[in-house]
Amino acid sequence: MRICMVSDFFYPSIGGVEEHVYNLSQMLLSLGHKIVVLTHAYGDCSGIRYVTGYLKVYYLPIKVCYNQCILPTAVCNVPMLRAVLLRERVEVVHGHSAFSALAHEALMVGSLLGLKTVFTDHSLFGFADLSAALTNNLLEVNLGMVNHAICVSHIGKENTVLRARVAKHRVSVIPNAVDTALFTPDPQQRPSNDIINIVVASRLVYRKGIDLLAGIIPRFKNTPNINFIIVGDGPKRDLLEEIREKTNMQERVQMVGAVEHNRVRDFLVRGHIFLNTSLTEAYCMAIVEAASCGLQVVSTSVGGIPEVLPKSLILLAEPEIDAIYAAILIAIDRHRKSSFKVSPSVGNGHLASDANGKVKRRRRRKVDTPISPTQLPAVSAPPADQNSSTEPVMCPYRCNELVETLYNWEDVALRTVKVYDRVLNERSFTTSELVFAVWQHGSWFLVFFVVAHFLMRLLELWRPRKHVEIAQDVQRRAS
Amino acid sequence: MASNAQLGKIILISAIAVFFYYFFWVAVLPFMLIDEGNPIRLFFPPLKYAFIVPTVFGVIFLGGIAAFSFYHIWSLRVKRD
Repeated sequence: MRICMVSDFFYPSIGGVEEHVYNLSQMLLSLGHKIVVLTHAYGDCSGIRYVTGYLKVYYLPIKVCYNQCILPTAVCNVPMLRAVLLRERVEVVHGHSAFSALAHEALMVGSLLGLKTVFTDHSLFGFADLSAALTNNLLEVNLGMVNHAICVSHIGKENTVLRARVAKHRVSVIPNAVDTALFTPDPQQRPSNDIINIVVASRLVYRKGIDLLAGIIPRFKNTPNINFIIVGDGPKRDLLEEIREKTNMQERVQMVGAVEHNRVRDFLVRGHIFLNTSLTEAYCMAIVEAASCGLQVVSTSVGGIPEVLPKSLILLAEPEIDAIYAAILIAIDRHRKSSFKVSPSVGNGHLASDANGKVKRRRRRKVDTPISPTQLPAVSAPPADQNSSTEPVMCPYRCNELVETLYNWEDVALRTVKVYDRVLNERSFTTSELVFAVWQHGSWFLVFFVVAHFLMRLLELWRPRKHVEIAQDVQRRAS
Repeated sequence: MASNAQLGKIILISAIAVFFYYFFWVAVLPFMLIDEGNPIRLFFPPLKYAFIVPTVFGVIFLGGIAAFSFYHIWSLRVKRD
């Protein structure tokens, strides 16, 4: 199967969509499919490049207009997109992200060429403000021309179905995955005394709830042994710096700044608790990565977050300062009880060391049995003491294994292939059906669509399909 | 055949030339204080054509799109019946 991934967002840019496109492409390549990625030029990164696993990336020479998106012209890039899709003999065009103008244009070109189209939505969006209304209408028009849509959570599916008015049987839910081999726990990186580190890793923008975080940090002013590690940069960084100065917590609040994604783990493993204060999230990769590193997760209960992790790994709170503060206190209390049980015993230390060595081999499941007795004393103590339903802190390595079973890219790739198989078995849209769909969802777009259609016909006369030079496939040589 | 870059340059220069010609015709010439017999007027038709031609092209363009669209919508509905 030959698939073309299209998005404005790809390496060298860094973000959730970029990670998703790259990892999904790598997994599909390993399953034997042929993958091509389309994106726009990033500075001097222009032209055709091959990345790991002979993944072919077209950095099209299109200029960036705003926030890493190209100028949405709807018709100017039709000749170039058509040439690439025909040269690569693409069967499925897979667009990513509602905010990617290039993805929308490529999906339209793919529909006009009779190819199958799939769209993945990576974020939630509002309904009421002007930019949301415009974006929703554009998405509605484009999804009317798409064979199938994929969302990363059930909340995301609900959001997309409502704002783009797409039939729900044409939307599948396939969550994101995390590479648990890259995000492994390392409890020895944690402070040896009874200090507890709270890690925050996100862009410091309003949407990530940094104002909530700014309200929470002062509450720990008089609580010793509670430190914050804040990873990330953004417009709200000044606010956090100001709070830190006002509360005299310079030594206890560490502002790391922007960090490469492959170095985020170095900060996660130092923490005991991961705090996420997002105001809106379709999925939130960060909390899955944190859970994979063995951290207890405290998060706002917004968007798709409640369905991301099981209750044993996450504490949910309403997106307000009091509720989040209470959840953090519960997490701290759990840690204090758990570490109190474990730390005094030298024998436990040896056991942990042995488990550390053996878990790295990751093949003997029986090794988990000796770890279980360590958890048993902790299990019985808290209910007896507090008469509450709070659960004990899970062993970091058990967290990693649990996340690995829940979210891995092989599973995501297999489910995506099912979507591809499904759309390939469907009949292609005829021109009449496409015109009708555009007319139904946004008749204003008919102007662009019909112009693109006739442009496609002109291109068929000027450069017929049968005369298009086929691109060579680079094969992995059998070793 | 000329390369794509040269073709792009030709298209761009042509578009700019047409634009400036039209701009001069519509926005500069009517305000020039020149007598009726000036030779420059030979290069420009009467002003009314400056508005008739784009309007006709616009109507044909949008009308063509509308006709094409409603033909396809009508044919789809006929198929469904």
